[in-house]
Amino acid sequence: MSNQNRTIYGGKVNREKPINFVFNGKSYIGYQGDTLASALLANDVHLIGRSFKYHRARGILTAGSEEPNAIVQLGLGARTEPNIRATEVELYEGLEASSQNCWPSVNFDIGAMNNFLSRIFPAGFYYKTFKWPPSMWLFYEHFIRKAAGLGQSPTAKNPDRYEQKFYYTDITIVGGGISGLLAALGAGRSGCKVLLIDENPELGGYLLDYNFSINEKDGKKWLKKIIEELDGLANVTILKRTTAMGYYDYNYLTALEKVTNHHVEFSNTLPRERYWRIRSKKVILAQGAFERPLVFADNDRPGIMMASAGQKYLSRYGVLPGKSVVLFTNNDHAYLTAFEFVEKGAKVTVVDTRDLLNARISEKCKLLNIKVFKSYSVIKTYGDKKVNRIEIQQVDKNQNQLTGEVENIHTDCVLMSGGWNPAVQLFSQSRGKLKYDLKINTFVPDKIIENQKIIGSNNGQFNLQENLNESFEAGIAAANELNFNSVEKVNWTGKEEIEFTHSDVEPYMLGKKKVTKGSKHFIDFQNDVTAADIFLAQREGYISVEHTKRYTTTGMGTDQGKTSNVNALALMSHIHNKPVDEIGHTTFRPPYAPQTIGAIAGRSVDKLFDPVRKTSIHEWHVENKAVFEDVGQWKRPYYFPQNKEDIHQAVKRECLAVRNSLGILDASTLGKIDLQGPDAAKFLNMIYTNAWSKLEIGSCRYGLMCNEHGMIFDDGVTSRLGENHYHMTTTTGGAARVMSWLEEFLQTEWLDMKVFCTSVTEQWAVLSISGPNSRKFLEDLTNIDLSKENFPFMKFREGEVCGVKARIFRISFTGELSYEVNVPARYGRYVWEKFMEHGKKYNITPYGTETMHVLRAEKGFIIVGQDTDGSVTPSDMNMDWIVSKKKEDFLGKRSYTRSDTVRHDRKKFVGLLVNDKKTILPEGSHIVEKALKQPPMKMLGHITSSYYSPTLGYPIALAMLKDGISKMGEQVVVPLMNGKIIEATVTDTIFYDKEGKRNNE
Amino acid sequence: MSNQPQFFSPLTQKEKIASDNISLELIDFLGKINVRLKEDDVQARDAVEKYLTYSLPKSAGEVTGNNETRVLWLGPNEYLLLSEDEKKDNVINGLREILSDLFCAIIDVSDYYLTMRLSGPKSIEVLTKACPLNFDQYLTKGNSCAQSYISKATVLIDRLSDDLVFDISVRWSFADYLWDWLADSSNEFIFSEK
Repeated sequence: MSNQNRTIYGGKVNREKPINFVFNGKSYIGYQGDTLASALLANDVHLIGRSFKYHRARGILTAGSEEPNAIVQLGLGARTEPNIRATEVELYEGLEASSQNCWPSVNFDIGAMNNFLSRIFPAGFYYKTFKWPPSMWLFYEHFIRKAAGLGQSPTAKNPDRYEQKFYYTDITIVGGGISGLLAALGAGRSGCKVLLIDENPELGGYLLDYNFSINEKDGKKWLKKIIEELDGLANVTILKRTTAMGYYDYNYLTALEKVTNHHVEFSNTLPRERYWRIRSKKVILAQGAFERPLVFADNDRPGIMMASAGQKYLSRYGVLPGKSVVLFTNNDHAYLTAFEFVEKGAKVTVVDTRDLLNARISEKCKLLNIKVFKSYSVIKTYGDKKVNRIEIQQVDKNQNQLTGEVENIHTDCVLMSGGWNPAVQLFSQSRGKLKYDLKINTFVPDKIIENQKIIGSNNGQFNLQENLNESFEAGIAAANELNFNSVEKVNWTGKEEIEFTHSDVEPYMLGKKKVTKGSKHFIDFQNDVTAADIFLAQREGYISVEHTKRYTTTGMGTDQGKTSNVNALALMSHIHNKPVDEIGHTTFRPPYAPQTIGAIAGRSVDKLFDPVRKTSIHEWHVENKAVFEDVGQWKRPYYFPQNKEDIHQAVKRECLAVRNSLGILDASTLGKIDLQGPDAAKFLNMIYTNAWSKLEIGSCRYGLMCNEHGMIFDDGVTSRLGENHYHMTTTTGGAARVMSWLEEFLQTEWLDMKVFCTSVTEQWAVLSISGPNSRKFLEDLTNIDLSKENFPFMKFREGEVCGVKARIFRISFTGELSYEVNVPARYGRYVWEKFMEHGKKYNITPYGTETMHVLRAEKGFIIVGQDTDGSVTPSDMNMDWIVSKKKEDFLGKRSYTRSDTVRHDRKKFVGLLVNDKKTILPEGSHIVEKALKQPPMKMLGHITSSYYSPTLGYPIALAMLKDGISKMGEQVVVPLMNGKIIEATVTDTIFYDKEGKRNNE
Repeated sequence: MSNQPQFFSPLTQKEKIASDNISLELIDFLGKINVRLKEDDVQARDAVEKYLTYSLPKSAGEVTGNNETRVLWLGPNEYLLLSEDEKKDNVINGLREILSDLFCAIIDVSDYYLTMRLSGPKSIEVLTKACPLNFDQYLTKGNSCAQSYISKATVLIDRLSDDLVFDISVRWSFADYLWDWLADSSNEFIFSEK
């Protein structure tokens, strides 16, 4: 039998279009327009899953995104997703879902024994496992980790596409219920740009499920017309199936649009979801309200649901969730649902906490043969996998206790209504302040911070008539405030059979004496937090609302307490005998509802994950099988293996080629900054530690850049191109930082200095050729006189190279005779290829960053960021020679007289040679005073760079060593992770060509 | 290989997109000249304007020009002058000459940026996927420009006409990434035609 709970007529599902789906391996049929929840209820499936902690049988509580119970594992394979609210999933052909948190099955679940062991799992039990005895934690942890979490994450790569979108609008309206629609209409008619967001597939909200009239005519027809008009307005954009997730400062909102989640077939081009980043001049919140559960013993059984959910299943989906129904309420409005159920053939009994009942409602109940128990409460429920009986008892309000005979009612569905909570989550995220409204027993918006309006039941206003006109006018007013023209106001007269008035919700909260032992009064369904847990937390001292939340976990999980928060607070208020306002509420944070990480990542995945910066010669490196290294976002050749060389063999070959003949390096990634202006030299004098005034045109100079604390933060060679024109180079990773640094000082400190700084990093391809044959090699390819006399070391010349206009800098990072050839990027690859072709006779060898590092280490040249770490001065690096004693001022100068920078026992830059001439010390190793069996050992320093030197035939290392200069020639020990202790001798940092003859050739 | 120096651009190997909704193509090398002069330096400004025969842009996002050159406002003291590639050396030398005694900087950045052209009715939809600019406020008509970012690359966007034609300049090293990004984002609009 299929769809046995479907009413004969009614609902908005398309009964012509059956849809096949599978739940827990069994096939069912639903209809187009169903949610997974409505289709399951239609097929008389009430047991949906097991609860988190106690593995209790759970069904469907609500009909919306606030659902705490009916969360399922949706989809299979790579597309499987845990924790999906069955109440939100639109049914599609072939849908597959299964219960969570149960094994081996939802019907027979071993974990359900937790329910009987609940005494050992009280609130905070997880934290208690930390406490005592300490050694037990490792034992507990094993089981806790296994039990933690709900559902299964997919293990395969996510096959779907997620897009993002930036959007600007005049007004964003969150919520497409009656208030949101009318606000959109008011603003839309005024002509301003409106974005209307609603999380449902259909606009209309609450009014889709209830009968009402406008101007004494059918309200549903009127609603349809309003939506049609909005659809026709070009300035109004409507996003359905879109949930506003975050509300940040200055009306910046994020929203998640489900684009194809509900499609049968996944699209190759359309995204599954789209993540919107919205900036809005004004925001109107019209999110409505959530119905509040009532707290009673075993209020969590399948078959117990919110009255409004029952209403929705019946009127929207044509599903009658039960035939013998009990409505448990503390307000008038829920009686509408009782009437609706009777009309559709159910037998209804009402248990009302109040003693007085509106005469009109009393009359109608009599007419419909509805028995009403006044001043009664449901005190317990029964039924293994679905409710089948309840106990009720009279409430003595004065004594706050139960009295009289316990009566039994047999039932298959309990509808409960404890009043309504405005959905204040986004309002609160936007820093809006809440106040507790005693009339309707809930928090309502109080003080607005952002440029925002909040309307309708979202603002605690539940009366239809009031909402109609106020919402429309709010839309007009918002447009007006943005200087759009006013439009005519409209007066609608709206009526519901039972009007919502503020006085008819009774503050009915569970009293202390109503907690009956041996049963659980659930406050938070998803996290299995009971009233007893709240009591316990208070007894154990967790009386701040934030502490109670964390101790008991109430308000956590996928629903973030949408159904539980207010009841928890009310109970705390009751326990402490304090107004709820004084208890306060926890902080609401984004996201409003669970959201996929994929949508936040958007298209920044796979090859688009992060930019790969490439030089103009990059493709040549790829074609010639370079192994690449990431340097910031750049890809730089690490080494160029030939045949089956490993890194050591390749680097050895590359190093020797440079030392003996000719090597070539792509140095294009170096930062380059063009400096021009009459004060350029003065500026350089301030930025660098050394003197620049006397640098001749055509000359190059190395400079160290320090911050105000005197610590090295970048280095490079700057050349004087013309009278007031300099070309600065920076480290690859430091380029952007240096550029900002220069601009910061020009724009905030030295406003009168006439200097323009312009980044030209990518303008130039830089081909660095190095080795004793580099002059001979280059002579054939350029019109520049390369003779030692005309073009000595540390000079710059302009001319042509391979027919391309070029700048050549005679500078060296290898210690060999070197030329850095700069050509416009577009010619980079051409010139490189010409070099390779022409260089064959010198066995020209392309080399990568590893060889560059080895060669410079042999020469003791520092790498900022490797040998330095932001805490070393030039003096620490033995570079006092580069710090001017004469200059009046420069960045860092004042710090060189501080007691801390002048003390002698600072770590100094030294060389280290291992005594065994074999071991390559791992970079980062500690140098200790005395090697002990285990730490702690007194540390003297650490290794900053360490390589095997092919030129020398043994390993070399650079290190920072306490008082290192006076330790020259001394022995130190370096304990390794593998337990070995290596002895080394402290040396000078220059291992090769100490006189610096080779680069001066 | 001829003896004439060969150009190379990482985008020449990219497959261009041409559809009714969206097109993406590479723009050949242009002369791109970074011009720095103080906004309130009337003398320098006058000299440049006289040389160009038209006014420099005065406010953020403005673009001025004639048949030969085009000037984009980049910042209070910074402009980008576009010319034909072959003529850029003339322009650079011409400007340096007339400004020789004045505080300014004329810098060839023709290879610093690579430029791609995004056009078609869906181009703003493609851009707003990853560019945080408000297209209701900026780049609303031809001859306007703006600097922003697209995903993780900083860009200079030049709207050439009231039609939806955008020249997007990006630093050379990011060009490959940006092209791939734009091509990927254009995907849904190419296929939706079929």
